[in-house]
Amino acid sequence: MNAEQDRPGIERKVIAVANETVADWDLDLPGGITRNTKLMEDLSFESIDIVQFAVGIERAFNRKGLPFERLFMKDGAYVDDITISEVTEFLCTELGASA
Amino acid sequence: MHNVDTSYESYTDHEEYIAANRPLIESIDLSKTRVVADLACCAGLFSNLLFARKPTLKICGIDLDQEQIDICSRKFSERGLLCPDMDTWRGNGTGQILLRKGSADDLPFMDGEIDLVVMGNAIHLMPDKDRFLLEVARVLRPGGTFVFNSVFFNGTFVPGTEALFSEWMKEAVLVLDEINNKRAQRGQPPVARERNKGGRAFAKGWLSEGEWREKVEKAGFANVQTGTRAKPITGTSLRLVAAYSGLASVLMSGYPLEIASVCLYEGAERAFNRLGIKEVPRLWLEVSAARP
Repeated sequence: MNAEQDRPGIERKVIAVANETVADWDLDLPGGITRNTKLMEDLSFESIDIVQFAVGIERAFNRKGLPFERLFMKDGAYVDDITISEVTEFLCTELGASA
Repeated sequence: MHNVDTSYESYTDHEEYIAANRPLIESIDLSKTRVVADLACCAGLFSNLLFARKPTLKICGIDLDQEQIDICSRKFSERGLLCPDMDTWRGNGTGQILLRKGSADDLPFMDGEIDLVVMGNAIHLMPDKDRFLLEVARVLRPGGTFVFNSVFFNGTFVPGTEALFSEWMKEAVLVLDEINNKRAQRGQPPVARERNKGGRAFAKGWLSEGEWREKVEKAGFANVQTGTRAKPITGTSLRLVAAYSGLASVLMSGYPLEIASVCLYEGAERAFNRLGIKEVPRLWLEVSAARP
């Protein structure tokens, strides 16, 4: 397991993709994006932002077809919000990373 | 890049969409029905199916979108079924349809004037569902029926099929990236996007089947029947609805509609091809209720 694929490495990449997504949005984010940042409440993601973020994640990890629906939906309904930490957890599971 | 048809008509006129809606209309008891309100009538699918079953119906179709009213007017006018105004419709509208632009939660009917209210695949869009249901109850006569369906509710995705819809959206973004790459090669800036044009992601306001039952009962309706029906979505029908500008404005909010429609259309084709599938089932919610 290389340093990029352990949990801290994955989280750094997720935060980097999130920063890239919101780069020109002029958001007021004291402290920047952290593991506790919520995509909707804190970053004001619209539907297409979520998708562009997901595509950015797939590019960053060089993996196509990641099952984001397992992250975005619970029991047949869309979730209310998602934290960076939950995205990281999802990727740890999908990429088989070590904690 | 494809030239795509961004109207809703091409989708709602498609045989798959008609087949998804026909069983609901065929399940309605029309024996005591004479006057019908077709809310969010769009291009007139429900009215058309109802006339096919009972040509003597008197129908008023209402839609917020003038373009849909125009399409609907053209279709029914060609068949000599278009009623010119409300007075004529009220007086002698048998076998005719009156079309009005307007909101479904502020109906131009007297209390108890309507025998049957139908609404096809639009109730999820109503901003105040409780107010809307009370308005439907107001215009229905005692014993009148309210029937609606929707493919936008919690539980609509058959477990295991969700991947198609997420892959579709990701492919649409990749199509947009390709468009931007070509623009960059020509020295043009990327496609501009205006943010804050769409709602917060996932805040769809969808209800489950049980929540709809509860809401309809709370509005005073009786004999509330709910159920779901699985209908296939093929690559063809997903492409048709993907190109619809109204959907593009939601799914790719803030992007120019003609570009968003192309991205979603091509993304649909690629998602089906990439997953190697021909169709997936999706559940339609169907509800009928009676005014006591």
